[in-house]
Amino acid sequence: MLTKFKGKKITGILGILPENEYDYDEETKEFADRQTKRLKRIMGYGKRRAVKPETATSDLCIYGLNYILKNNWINKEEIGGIVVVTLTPDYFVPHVSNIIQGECDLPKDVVCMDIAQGCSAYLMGLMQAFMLLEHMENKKVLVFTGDVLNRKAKTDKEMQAQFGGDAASVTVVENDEQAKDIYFNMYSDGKDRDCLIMPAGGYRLPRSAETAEFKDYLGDGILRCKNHIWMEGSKVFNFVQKEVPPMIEEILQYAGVSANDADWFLFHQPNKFMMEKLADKMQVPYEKMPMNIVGEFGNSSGSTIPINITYNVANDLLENERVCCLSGFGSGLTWSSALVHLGKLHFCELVTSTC
Amino acid sequence: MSLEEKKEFLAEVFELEEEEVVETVILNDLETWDSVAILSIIAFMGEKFNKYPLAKEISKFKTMGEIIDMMNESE
Repeated sequence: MLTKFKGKKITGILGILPENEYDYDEETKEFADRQTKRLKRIMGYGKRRAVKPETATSDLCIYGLNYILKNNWINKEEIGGIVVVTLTPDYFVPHVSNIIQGECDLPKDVVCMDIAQGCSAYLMGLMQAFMLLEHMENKKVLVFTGDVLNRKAKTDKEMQAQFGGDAASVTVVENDEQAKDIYFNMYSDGKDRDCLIMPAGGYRLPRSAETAEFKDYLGDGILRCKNHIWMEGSKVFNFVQKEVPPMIEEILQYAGVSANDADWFLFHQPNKFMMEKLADKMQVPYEKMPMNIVGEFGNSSGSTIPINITYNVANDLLENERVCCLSGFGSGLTWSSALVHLGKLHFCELVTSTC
Repeated sequence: MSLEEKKEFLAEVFELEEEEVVETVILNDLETWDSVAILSIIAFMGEKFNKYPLAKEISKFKTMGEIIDMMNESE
């Protein structure tokens, strides 16, 4: 899909982090070898955040919405819809959006919607919100992203990916006749869906004691458990290098701006290596494309773009209006981008929750 | 691309001196024959030759010569 949204504006972004922090060197010290250090250097691994064992996605989202309401950045009566994009719903039934609605005591005419999506979550959520706004007049739509794939107790020694992070975000979008057009494209390739897959937990293969066992399923010497996400790393890397640069070229061309005109390239943050190779291929200077999120907070799937924005460019976007290119890519496979004039935000902040 | 340029890249990836990058090197003898090396080679293949090999293909290689052959065949 290639399209533009008219009269829609992003007016506030809040990033929400869990408080538990982990450090790559500390986590790997018992088995660290030369590869461990090499990985750290090229991938940019460092610190990451993961939620506590009892925390669910809605907890992070509710913390964020309460923070917004407490600051009077919006009031409940202005909310017309909430869109929650997550890979880790609290339950299959009921939905995270309804949990938020109930816990935050939102009006009954609020449209509540959950979408399952991985690293393209933010773009998918924005797209849905822009479409809902066509029917919202003065009401606002809130886009939530949130995932808790890495939750654990601080003392739990269970092996986890040292780049995985948990986080959430809330973005306010609203109608504004004066707003500049938002250019948007989205692609999918379900044929390659198996290169990012969580084998167990759905109706195809429910979780069981057996799916929790770690085994060398793929014959590559790596122990995997069917309850976790399996990634065929090189296939994903190649997919990103092949598909993302032409998609960005298309969106820039469609918007009539050059790569030089864009102030920020605010992309999903899998690791520094992949970001650098993308920037090289697109000939985007590194200083326009922040790549530090994986090493500061971990790769939090659907929340990396709003965490990137609130951590790296918050002050700039509170004071100025900037030409921003956003892009997410991941499970599905799905890849998407938007060219948007972002700025003069009412709020843009990154908070640490108690979750 | 010249053989020297390929060897220069491989020396960097494997943290070797350029004169140590010879076709007969057994990859399993190198401490740096790891996931970082494989990913770097994949990225190089895409960047320089517009080829997209997978990790499982490259990890089968036994010698440095096989990596160089793959590059030569992609030109």
